[in-house]
Amino acid sequence: MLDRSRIIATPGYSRWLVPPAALAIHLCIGQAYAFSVFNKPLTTLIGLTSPAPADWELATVGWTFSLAIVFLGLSAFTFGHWLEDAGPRKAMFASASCFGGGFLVGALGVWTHQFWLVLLGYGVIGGIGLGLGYISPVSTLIKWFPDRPGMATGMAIMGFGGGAMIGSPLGVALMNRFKSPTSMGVWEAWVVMGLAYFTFMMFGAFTVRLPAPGWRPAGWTPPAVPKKLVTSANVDVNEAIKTPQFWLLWGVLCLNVTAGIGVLGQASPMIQEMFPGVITPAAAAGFVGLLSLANMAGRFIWSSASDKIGRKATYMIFFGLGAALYASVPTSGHLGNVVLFVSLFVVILTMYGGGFATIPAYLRDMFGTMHVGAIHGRLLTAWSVAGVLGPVLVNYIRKYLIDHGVAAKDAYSATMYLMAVLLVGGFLCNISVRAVDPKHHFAEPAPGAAGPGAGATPAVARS
Amino acid sequence: MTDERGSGGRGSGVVRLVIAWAYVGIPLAWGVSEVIRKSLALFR
Repeated sequence: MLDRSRIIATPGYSRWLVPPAALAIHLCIGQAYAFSVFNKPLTTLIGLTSPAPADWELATVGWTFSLAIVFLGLSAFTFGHWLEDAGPRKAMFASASCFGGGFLVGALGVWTHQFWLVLLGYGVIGGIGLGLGYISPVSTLIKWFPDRPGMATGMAIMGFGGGAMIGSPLGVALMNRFKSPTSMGVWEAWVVMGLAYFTFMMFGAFTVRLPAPGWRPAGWTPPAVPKKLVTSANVDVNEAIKTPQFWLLWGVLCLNVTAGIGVLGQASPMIQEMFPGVITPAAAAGFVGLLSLANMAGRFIWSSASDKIGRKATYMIFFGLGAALYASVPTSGHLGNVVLFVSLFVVILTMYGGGFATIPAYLRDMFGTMHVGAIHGRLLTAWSVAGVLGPVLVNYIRKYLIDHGVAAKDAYSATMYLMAVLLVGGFLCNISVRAVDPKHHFAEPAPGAAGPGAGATPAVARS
Repeated sequence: MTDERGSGGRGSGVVRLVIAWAYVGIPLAWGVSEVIRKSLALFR
């Protein structure tokens, strides 16, 4: 039922069913970015109205999300190769089981007030579900949309951004529903969410199909002369990580994400401190929401645009324009121009999201379709590193400057210039990307390796 | 094989597509509308 051989599409299956299948997975696992709605309730599980001595501290609770992101990267790295053999349905089913099951184990931890169970459930088991789910539809979408790989993968990865927008109000609504004089409603909410997310993800698992070998979209033929940076060959995942191209793209993703995460983490206090007396906490929350929308929209818009203008050019814009915009932020603050300030960050955040969403198609261009899901999984370690690096850089440098007498408003200026420098580094990585040396190409021709319709992973030995 | 949809019934295929996109589109639209509602505070 779950096997790769059972999900080859029959005539009549529309490829436009694959993006909603992928979205069904990403909209659920994107909930991870809304975990913060549980932070405060988790610190008052015993005291209920205020933290009791036996309650968990906020810093302790914070480890749950961090652990989930670490296991996202680890599982994407570890299981990427397995996924290519097992197929998307089995991977999506495993993802749903882990993500939904993680909620249930976590709920048991909340109910019994055993924090290690929360870490094991949401952090470890749920985190594995995140990693599996994140990469599970990527190579399938690329095979179904050889004519528009950027748009197809961008649509799925956009869902990850949208998942937080659903998970946040859903979590709050469920806790309010189950809150009682004896409970914060967290464990009850997690039980419902675990079951609901598992069920929702099953739609994706049982809708997804692989194209039959030789399938291609109607009216589309592979270009007779391939573009300069789009290969028609394939590179094995273990070979790919030996190429300079892999590590240059690793740097591209890491630096783009580091800059964006640094801003997202401090968006609310930043706008309030840069425009004191003008921006209220409610308006600052609105600013954060607007940035989330820009992040999500950018994932679809930029990845779709990359199909037209090319992946390298797209990242040139991200880094070139991004560095210029970051460097302009302090000026907008000094001018007291809120509209300009907000506009700058909206554009910056579209490019942050675009960086995430365009990378699978960039990998496909460089390394072919055969192991693109597994290679993407390995590249996501850049995300894990950036997730630590971004906030640490921004917070520590800002604290250092303030401790040395710099005004809070001006300390933000310094961090903006730092982000611009990071993007210049990303620009240099991207400009250095060249086509992969043919010595790294997979030795035997793979069925459908030219792009379209590789319905099954070639049954030949991998290095 | 070069086929966008294949030989299945066109009507039932369209219904499946509409249901599939509504399944993911409705929750996403709800989430986006919630964020837009909160974001409006920035412009007040």
